[in-house]
Amino acid sequence: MNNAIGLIKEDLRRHRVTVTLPGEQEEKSLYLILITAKTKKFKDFVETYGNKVTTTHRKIAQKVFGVWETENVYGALIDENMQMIFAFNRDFADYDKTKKAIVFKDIDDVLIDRIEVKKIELEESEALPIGPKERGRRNPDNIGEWLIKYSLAEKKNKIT
Amino acid sequence: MHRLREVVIETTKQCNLNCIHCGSDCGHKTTEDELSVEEWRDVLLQLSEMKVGKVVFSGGEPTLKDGFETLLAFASVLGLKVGFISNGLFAFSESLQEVISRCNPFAVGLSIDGLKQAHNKIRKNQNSWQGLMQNISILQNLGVQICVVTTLHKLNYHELPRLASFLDLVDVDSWQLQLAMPSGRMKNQVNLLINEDDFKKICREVLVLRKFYPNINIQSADCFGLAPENSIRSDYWAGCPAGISAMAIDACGNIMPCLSLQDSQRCENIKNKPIVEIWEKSSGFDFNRKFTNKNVKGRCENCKLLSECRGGCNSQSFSYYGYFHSSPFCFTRSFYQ
Ligand code: SF4
Ligand code: SF4
Repeated sequence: MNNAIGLIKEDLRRHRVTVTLPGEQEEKSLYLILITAKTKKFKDFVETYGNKVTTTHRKIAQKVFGVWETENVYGALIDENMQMIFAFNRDFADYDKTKKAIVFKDIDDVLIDRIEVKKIELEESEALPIGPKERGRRNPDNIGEWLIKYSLAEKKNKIT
Repeated sequence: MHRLREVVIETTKQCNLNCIHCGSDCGHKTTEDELSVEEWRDVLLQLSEMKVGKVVFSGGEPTLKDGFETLLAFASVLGLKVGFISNGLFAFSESLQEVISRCNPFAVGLSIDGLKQAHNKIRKNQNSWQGLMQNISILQNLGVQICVVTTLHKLNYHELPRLASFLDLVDVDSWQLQLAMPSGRMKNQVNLLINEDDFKKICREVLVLRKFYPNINIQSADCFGLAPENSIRSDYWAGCPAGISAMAIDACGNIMPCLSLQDSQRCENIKNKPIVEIWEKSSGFDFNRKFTNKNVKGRCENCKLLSECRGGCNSQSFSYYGYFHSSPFCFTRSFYQ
């Protein structure tokens, strides 16, 4: 067994990094390994960004990540005693060699990068209604609706 | 007699941003002759006596106006249907949040010009997007309708599909699309203004997005011109309402037919005359009230719909050509004529 640990340590040497952990001042020498696990990305998102997560972020994150378990890749920093010191979901952070630190991606960038654009193809004939009809001189009572620049549209059928 | 239904108020010219496309060239400083809160209160009182339906506080950035909360609350006490539009740079203060929840505005507008990168670039501020995210949360927690306002030009119209997808995820209520025009700071950036081809692309995009995102109330503003119902907007559009059923008051109390008509003449100042008198008698509205087809030159001259449309959006027409009733962009002209 001791021998096995020795071998693992030997192998780990290739993964040794110098890092200043988030919230700490001093550099540490740790091993950085990658682990894949089935977990909830949404939960990681909320834990990673803590009080930066607004209701809006939460709403988007729930939709783009789903709430179910998926495969996630983690960076795990462990010490000489094989104790886990710090872990991060690589979708949200990564080890930066130059900075010798864990660098977190911007919360908004993480979400925006996940936005899927529906590829919408619609024939113009399908989208375009019949043209406006001539109604004659404007009837002063028939003022229609308008939407002035720098005024505001209102959703009329909103159930509150 | 024309009934005044909607008034857009330039609450202040002061703004904490310096956006590329600002049509009013608003800046960090406020001018000395801006109306005081007392004067604005009097304006609101007069508007309520005139039974104006809707008042929208615009700017500049209205939340920077000292006493803005008082004005919002006062307008609502008077029974005016009230809304305001903000650049959302800073999270709304707790006191403003409290007033918003008491006043129940019909909508609060947030200007969003693209996704984070494009938005921050256009707004020339790296924190601009972050502020928006906070304010969307605040408004949704308060249960207030959000209307996103996007001003389109060459830097951002390509982002419409991604922005739509984002706004759908966020669950905003309405999305108002409007076109940048050569007024204010945009006069120095005419290369960013869209051309006819861009306009057609935008319209095609809007037609599609309105079908695919029925939960977002996507509406093209007046500047897109006449269009069949339920195409680029829901309702029938009966021409420019400036001076017919709507007007604006600038930060110094000058009455204008529309806040976007920055370069045309002001009517009169509310400090000199009661608003009702200005509304009823000012010749500043005649270009629209006394419209005849004879006045019309340029792009709309031969249009069969000219009598009812009166040449589309006058602020577009004026900013591009220096005269009214000849809007450079018109959905009907682009797709049916
Ligand atoms: S061409 Fe001019 S008058 Fe005709 S519908 Fe368009 S904006 Fe109105
Ligand atoms: S000038 Fe344009 S934006 Fe202003 S009221 Fe007229 S149509 Fe609407």
